[in-house]
Amino acid sequence: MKQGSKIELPLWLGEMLALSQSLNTSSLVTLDPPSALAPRVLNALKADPRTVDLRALAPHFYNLGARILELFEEEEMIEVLSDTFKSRSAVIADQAHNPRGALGEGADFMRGLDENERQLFRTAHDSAKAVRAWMTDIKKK
Amino acid sequence: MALPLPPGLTPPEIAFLCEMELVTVIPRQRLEGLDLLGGNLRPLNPPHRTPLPLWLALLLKRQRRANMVPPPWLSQHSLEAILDYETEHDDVFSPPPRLPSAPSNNALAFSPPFLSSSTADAAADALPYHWLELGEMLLEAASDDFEDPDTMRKLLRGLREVRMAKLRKIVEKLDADGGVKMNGIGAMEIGEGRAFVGGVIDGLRKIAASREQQRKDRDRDEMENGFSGTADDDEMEMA
Repeated sequence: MKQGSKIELPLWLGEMLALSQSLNTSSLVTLDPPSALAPRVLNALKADPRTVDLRALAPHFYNLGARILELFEEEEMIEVLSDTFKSRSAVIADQAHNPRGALGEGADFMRGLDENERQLFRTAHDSAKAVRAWMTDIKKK
Repeated sequence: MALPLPPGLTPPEIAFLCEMELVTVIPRQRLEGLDLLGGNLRPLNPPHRTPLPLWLALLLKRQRRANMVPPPWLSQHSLEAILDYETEHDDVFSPPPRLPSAPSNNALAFSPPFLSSSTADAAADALPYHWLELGEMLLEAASDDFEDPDTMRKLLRGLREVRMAKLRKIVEKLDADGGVKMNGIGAMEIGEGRAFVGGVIDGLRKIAASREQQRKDRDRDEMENGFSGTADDDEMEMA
């Protein structure tokens, strides 16, 4: 492979090659942030976190972000990701408590959730369901 | 290993805990005093009002041996006032019942759940910790002791909706290392919100993990080199 060429590598491989600089004097590769976390995406998230389809960018968007943040020191990315997660969680909670939400206008948003957010939706939905189940249960007694 | 139950308490467990709350009944039959683990119960003498634990009161009610006296806050007037408060104040829950003033001697002050917040002489203007469970159970088992059970049910549902919406909005104020004020929240609401709010906090911590790690490293360096006495020491200790 030629020096100076750009290639896409799996995260684990890129990470190892980039961190191996302590053994050789110079690092084998330098890393760019992946396209899912490109400045274009971060700007879109800053503008309106609710309309971005995170799933299309990366199924494990936040986990990827956390791994990348271990490699790069980017205070701003932490802020953007935290704010995104917070405002999207609020929508997720509303959807989870609103049984027809998954079919109505929220369908697009629900399809764009990353894995963490799906898990969050499931737990919120389950606990709301458990309380409703208890309420119908005491009526049967 | 996946545990079959989510963290925290399930709704039936919360309802079970609620059953030790004292409620006031008007007995219709005599009953000797009972010596129970939770304390001695006074003998029931109709028609004297007597405080009983909710579980026993429900039992006697189902056997038609007693009538319930709903707590003052579980009335149309109080619930409407509280609902108004909840809709007017966007970001706080209605305040919990006031605690009695601390005893002057060295005795420990009583605090929930050892206060009778649901007997006939409870405060009328505040929702106690177990308001939702107790209200639902009383309305279910003793709807004939209420003047207008359907309106009460509607009011309880309305309160629940408003307050759960507030609980969901809390996440927007959350931080990976901050606290949130939730005074006046009820047991069932904690149970319902725990999984979600906990999940959000976990997610936020994961995102900010690298920053946390940096702080830890910096703190450890400072511990080893002795405190430098800079102004932001306090902030970092809070983290």
